[in-house]
Amino acid sequence: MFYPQNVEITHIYAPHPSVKAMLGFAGNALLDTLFRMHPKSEGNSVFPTSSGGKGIEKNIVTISLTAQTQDVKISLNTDESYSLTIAPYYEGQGRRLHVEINAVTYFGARHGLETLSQLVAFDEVHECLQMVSQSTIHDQPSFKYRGLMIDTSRNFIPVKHLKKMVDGMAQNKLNFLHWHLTDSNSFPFYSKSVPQMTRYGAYSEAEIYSPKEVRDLILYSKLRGVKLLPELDAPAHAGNGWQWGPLEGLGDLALCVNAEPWRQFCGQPPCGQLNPLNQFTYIVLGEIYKDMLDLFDRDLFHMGGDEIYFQCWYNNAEIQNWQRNRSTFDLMDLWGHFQQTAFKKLKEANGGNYITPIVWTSDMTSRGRIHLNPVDYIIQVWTTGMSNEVKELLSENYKLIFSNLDSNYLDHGFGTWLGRDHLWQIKTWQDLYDNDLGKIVEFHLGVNRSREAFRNGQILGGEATLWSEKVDQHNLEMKLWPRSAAFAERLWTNPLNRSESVYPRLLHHRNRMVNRGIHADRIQPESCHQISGYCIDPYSVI
Amino acid sequence: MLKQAAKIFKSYLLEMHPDNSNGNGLSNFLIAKGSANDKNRKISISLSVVWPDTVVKIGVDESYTLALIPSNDAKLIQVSIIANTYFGVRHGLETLSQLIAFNDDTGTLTIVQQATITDKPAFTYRGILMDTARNFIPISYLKRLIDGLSYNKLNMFHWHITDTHSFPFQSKRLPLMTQYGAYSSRKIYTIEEMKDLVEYGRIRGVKVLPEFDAPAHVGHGWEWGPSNGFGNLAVCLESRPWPLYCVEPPCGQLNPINDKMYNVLGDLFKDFLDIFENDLFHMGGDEVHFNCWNTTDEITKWLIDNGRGVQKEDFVQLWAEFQERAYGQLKDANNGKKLDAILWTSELANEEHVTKYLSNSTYIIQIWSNGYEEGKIIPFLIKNGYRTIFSNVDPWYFDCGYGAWVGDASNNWCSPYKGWQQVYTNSPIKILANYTGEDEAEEAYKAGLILGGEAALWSEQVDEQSMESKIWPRGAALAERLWSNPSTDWYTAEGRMVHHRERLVDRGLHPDMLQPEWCHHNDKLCHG
Repeated sequence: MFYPQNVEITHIYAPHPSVKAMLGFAGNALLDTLFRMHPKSEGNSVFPTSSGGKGIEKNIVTISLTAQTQDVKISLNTDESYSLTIAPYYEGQGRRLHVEINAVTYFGARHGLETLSQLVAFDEVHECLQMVSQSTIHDQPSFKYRGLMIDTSRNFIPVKHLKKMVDGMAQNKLNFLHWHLTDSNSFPFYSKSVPQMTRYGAYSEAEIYSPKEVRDLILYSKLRGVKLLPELDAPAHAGNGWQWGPLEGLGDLALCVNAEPWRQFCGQPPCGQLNPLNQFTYIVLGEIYKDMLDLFDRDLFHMGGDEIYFQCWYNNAEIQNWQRNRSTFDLMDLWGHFQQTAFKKLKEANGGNYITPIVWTSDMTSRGRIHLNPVDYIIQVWTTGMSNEVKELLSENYKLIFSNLDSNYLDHGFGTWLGRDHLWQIKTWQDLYDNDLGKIVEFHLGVNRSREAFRNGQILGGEATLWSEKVDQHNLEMKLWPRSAAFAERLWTNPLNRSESVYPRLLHHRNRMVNRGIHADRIQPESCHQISGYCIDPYSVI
Repeated sequence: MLKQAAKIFKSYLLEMHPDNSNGNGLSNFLIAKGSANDKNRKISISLSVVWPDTVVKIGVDESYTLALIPSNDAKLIQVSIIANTYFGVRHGLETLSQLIAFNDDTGTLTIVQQATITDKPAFTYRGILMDTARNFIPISYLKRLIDGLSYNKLNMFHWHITDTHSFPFQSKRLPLMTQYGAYSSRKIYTIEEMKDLVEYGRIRGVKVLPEFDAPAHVGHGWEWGPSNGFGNLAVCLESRPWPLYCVEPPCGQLNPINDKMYNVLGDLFKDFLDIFENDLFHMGGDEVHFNCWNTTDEITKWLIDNGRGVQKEDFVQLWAEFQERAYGQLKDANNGKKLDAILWTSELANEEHVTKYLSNSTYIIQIWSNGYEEGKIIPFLIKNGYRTIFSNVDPWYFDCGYGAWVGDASNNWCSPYKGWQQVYTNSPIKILANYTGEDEAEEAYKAGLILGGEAALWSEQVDEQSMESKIWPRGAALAERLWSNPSTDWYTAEGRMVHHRERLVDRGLHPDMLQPEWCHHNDKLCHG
């Protein structure tokens, strides 16, 4: 039993002052979390300072933090492991606990502090905190890539709420926030070089991300162990924002923008697709890439590349000409040309340095893979897990991130937004938890080759996606949490099955998240939390 | 009351300014870019009420007439709202607020210049049920729920206040109830809070209708009998394995053969009627599990000692006797005055038993059966003269679709999630007509046997963190069904729904989002 004011970060070891400073930040964040464990706290300390003779105020917890390297960039190679020991020792009056967190990188140490916070609970009777008094933990994630995706184009999400999303990710040791920044609906990313994009494409002046806000969000996320991964989806899913070409003498940068009837030209309204035969399209694209790479890390970039509708392109006279000259009915070659040129622009924007592109599964990944070199590209799977395409991609040595829509689509359900389309069941926390990547890969490759694929680092991890047709800041958190916490456990621990202990753990963790300010959905009655183990079906066998 | 309604209306106007959250109130508007002309424009509103009604009751007149008349130079718009009751005028102000919009270019408000509206609800009972026993909902959030009801002219907040899980209702006569039954000392509704809530609702045209569910769906809160010389007030509390004794954990059911239990019930009813209005009471009455009683020695012994059996019909009869005695206690608590009681559809209210045990002059039946698959009970109840409230689970259960909360299934029992379109389409009259033909259904409606409808948010998987996006804006779709009973389908209401959702946000609610903002900017282009 102790009070949070008696917790002290006594030692911080790091090979570089900036890492030390980051560790200091993470340590203070833990102290803040501890103060917030009091149900009456609103960020301030309301713990008593004396226990009226019980001596609680004499008990002290000391923490020492070590990060061995000066690595402060999250990449697919970041070592996130940590070890954590808690041991009692004796010195003076009162009880003493010493906590030692040791990690290769800052990010591992940060995760260790996150774990430590979960070993502490509020003691209602004594109005103090309690902590596991002796423990040794060696921990590391099963998968490198543990991501969430948020779409800020269908509906705009204020930065303040993206920060809260990052808070939630940090609490669950998720490490990649894939930011689907733009789409055909709106273009909220302010491009310094091409301000026309937001002028034409933002929903309103108030619904724009300024470079300053983006930079701030990137730093905010990094401190919390989260890498921000930008996506500029192209050539489809681009429309509003790209209309200004003709007015400025650049011709059509995008085609069929907001075209009707939409069903003829795209998968969902509003339509829009970049014009692959206009050289200015690539120049503008390159400028936006540069603006993005000025802000974001330069090792990974999401190029989108999903849901191309050739019907949109077919309708354009210039493209018809191009096609006639090649006597081909298949526009895959044209798309391939787009993809290769765009990738070239991306590399140029990166000062000619190598950068790894990610693309979604699409027509190109199923029958145009010639345009995607597996040495370069990471493929994000959004087919079902059991789709034959996954097998083909695995067999051809592509590295994969799984967002298979049979379990990882957080936006599914909640009614349709588009007439009678899109009637899906909600993907429940159980669905997310049960999405075992090992089983999927084994299904496709068999046991031995599956092991090989894991060994070769082909299976990077998973990502749960929240497309925002029916999401804004008012329901964002209840749609993310606690389902993404179940998802996080799947990717961090990769458990063999969903045992009965998951229910109470998730229920408790959900309350922990609420306590830290996240508006997570409720998954069970409070009685289930109070009578642990009673809220199961005694006749079911998991 | 009218002054309070006017004050609420004025707050709506301030909330229309996008910068409202800065707390500057009216001054947001005073820096408007609008012309001097705009600044000199005036709107004067007169409110008149004919009758002195001050309580929302079944059958209360909620009609109103609203007229907007511009002066010749358009500098003055005179608004008059006339209604038979306060509640009609209040609804009129609600409508008036929807004829006003914020103009982004000028920073001012704009209003429809000229209009005459004569309006009244199609159904007298337009409700939302919130359960505060599975999970506790802080009273401030119940106020926000009432706010939402009032924005949508819904008039009943059906408060499923207790259940087996917890007993958060503070009883003046029986403080042991919360002492044993509340989740914690912080999770109790005090008498003052509840009285305040009733008044808060009344001003907003919303009746707070309490439910005390019995004899099943009780348990926690009733444990104190044996140690206080009252015997077992409830039985099978937390019995295991639970599927043998109840429909969901934890189990618990009142002990119908314990005379002292009825006295306790009577005291509770008195406490309820001290706080709530005394014209209508929900007595619950659903999902009685006979095996609970049948495995309780005290009860089976009593049955046998009294020369009765332990077959299903014996338990139905025992339940019916419970219901009769419970109602007697309720009536006594109401100083011997009869009051309408609502019961859920159940084994007792089914075709076999309802006419035998439940009088149609006392009981209103709330239907939660699936409207089409198991809805034969509906024409039966109507034919036998019961007044009904529709809450058919197929679209009007707002808790459906999420992950299972018990067992290993993936989705919960009443999945899938009910989209607003289904909520909107669900027509009580059409459901009935499906069985009886349109003429008979229309007749039943005219005879006042279809009082209205209610959407239910059972709270196994809800607390204040997510309740608003589960209720809204679907509750608005429900409201339009029950107020206008439209013959057009959801398709024509879509643009209106999307816009109204933003109105709810302006007023501070956290509703679900229905479509990309692009669809709001481009009306009618987001159709399948």
